[in-house]
Amino acid sequence: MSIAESVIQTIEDKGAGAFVESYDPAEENMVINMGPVHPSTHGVLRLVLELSGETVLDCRPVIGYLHTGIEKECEDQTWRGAVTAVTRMDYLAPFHNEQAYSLAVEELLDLEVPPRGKYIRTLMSELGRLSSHLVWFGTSGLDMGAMSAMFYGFRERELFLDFYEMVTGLRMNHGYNIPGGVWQDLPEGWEEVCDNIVSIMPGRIDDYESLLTENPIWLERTKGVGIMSTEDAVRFGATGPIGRAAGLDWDLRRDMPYEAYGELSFDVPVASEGDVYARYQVRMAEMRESVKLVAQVMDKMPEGDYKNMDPKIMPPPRSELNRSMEAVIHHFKLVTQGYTVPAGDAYAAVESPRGELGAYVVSDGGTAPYRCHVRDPSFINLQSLASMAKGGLVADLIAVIASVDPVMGGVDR
Amino acid sequence: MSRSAGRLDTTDEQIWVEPGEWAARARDLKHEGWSLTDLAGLDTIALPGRGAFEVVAQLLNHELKRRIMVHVPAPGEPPTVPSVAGVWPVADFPEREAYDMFGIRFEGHPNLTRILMPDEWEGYPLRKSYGVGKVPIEFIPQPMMQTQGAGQSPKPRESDTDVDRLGQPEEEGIGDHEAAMRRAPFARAAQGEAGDDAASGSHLTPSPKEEPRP
Repeated sequence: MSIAESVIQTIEDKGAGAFVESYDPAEENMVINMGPVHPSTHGVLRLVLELSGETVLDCRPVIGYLHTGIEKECEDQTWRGAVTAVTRMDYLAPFHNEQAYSLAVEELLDLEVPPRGKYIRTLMSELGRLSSHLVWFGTSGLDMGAMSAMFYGFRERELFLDFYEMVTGLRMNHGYNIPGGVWQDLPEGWEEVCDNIVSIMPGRIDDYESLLTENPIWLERTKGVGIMSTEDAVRFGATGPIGRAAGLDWDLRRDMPYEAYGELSFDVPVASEGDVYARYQVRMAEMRESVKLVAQVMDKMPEGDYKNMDPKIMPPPRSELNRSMEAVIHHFKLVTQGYTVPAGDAYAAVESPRGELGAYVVSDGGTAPYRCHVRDPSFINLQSLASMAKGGLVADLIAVIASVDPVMGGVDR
Repeated sequence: MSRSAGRLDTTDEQIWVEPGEWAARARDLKHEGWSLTDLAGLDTIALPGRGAFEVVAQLLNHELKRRIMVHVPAPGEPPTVPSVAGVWPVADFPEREAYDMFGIRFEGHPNLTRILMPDEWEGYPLRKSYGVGKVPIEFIPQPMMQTQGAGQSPKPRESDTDVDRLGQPEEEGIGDHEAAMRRAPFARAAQGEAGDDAASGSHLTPSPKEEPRP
């Protein structure tokens, strides 16, 4: 028995056969599987690693373990119903999924969203960014041994989930942004809850920073780790905090404003180091900016309709049904078959917590999407993982994955 | 496409590029500052005047702050277009996804394999000819339970519909069968692992305390 065979035999005897793909004793290179069920891969991400000792020579993501065919599912729904399917893609940013899809459908319909609808969407989008970054904060802290980060991040996240439940009725997968606006106005007392969030969060973010920003262990694990250059960020299409941490000064909210972002003032944090620590700093600064944006949106929240009341698109209010035959007919048609959308192609993108989240929607003039493709930022950002991981240690790879913050629901769709 | 003021200008123009020119045109576009943000396959079979398949690329110019949408028809069987993964490395995963979902071949792609579906999967799920609900679900048959219909809770399987027992001598009545299962619901699984399933001639295992039937 050769040395290679005996090593593999030993590995299999220890019950680890499923993880090792090959072993080359001359080079001392080993190809092993990390995942798909590994606590540090944030879901069912499998990485095939080529290792030389502890050094990562190559890293190949293998995905698809959470593929549920949501794009196909959309083709079987009405235009309104597909919102409930797309919201399940990136489960940490459900509002952004719905928003991108709704913007694309509105483009095909040439449908205007009333100002209050736009502001409500902006509010939910910024709160969604905060609650998503809190999960990133908690999980990446946990991955690198700072377990209290997990407790703090998830504690504050409850504030947001409670607010979502109050507004939409659900803690996740809300189906709240629909083509034409939002399906329901903000409930009574939303200002108090939002005020509470805006007053609590800055202090809590200070707490997080005091926990990690100057923590020597944290600095050791993140500074100079997983470096990506600006050129690589452009080459591999990295967007969002990863791109901005690598010096790519690009934010769709500022550069191609949508919804109410054109009327709000905010900074876009950018760093140039491109390492895990820079991504940490960018996300932390983004959270502070989001809190400011929420406060601004609360001040400027206009009165009026929260959705386009075009009766061909939006079901009439319940009170109308008792006295208007027209309303009953519209209601009946919208419930039984939905509305038609003019034939055409549209692409709309929003800045999700992980980068550009775009929806490419095709209509053949019918009552269901002909094709609904979502450009998920996690899916695209995973391509740059290899360039960040190569040459580093396995332990650094954990830090890199945490800093990329992939959501497998969005990657696999 | 008409567009009202103040709303998101998502895409400024849509252009159609012949598949033969796509690779060269992509290099030109990259030279002009366009970067690829998304690439998707599209089954155009039901869209009038648009062939069978298309590859749709979304390009973004960071300096002009504009987007364009590029349609590349994919003719032939299998549908084929040149890959642009060499021009924009970001196209790697999206092209694999379009191959996986539509069977579109990207000539020159470094590693054109399935990405979301299992490697041995047959068919291309997002094609219009691939219906919803036509794939048998690969659950392992549950030996003790049988669902009568949608929305009902699982019920104990009756021996006359027990596929595991087909062709085997009927040793016990239905009533005994159910009674035995109520007494020892997990006995069969344990016996199956022991490997004497076939030898016993029956899948039912009375609880150890029960006397053998005459």
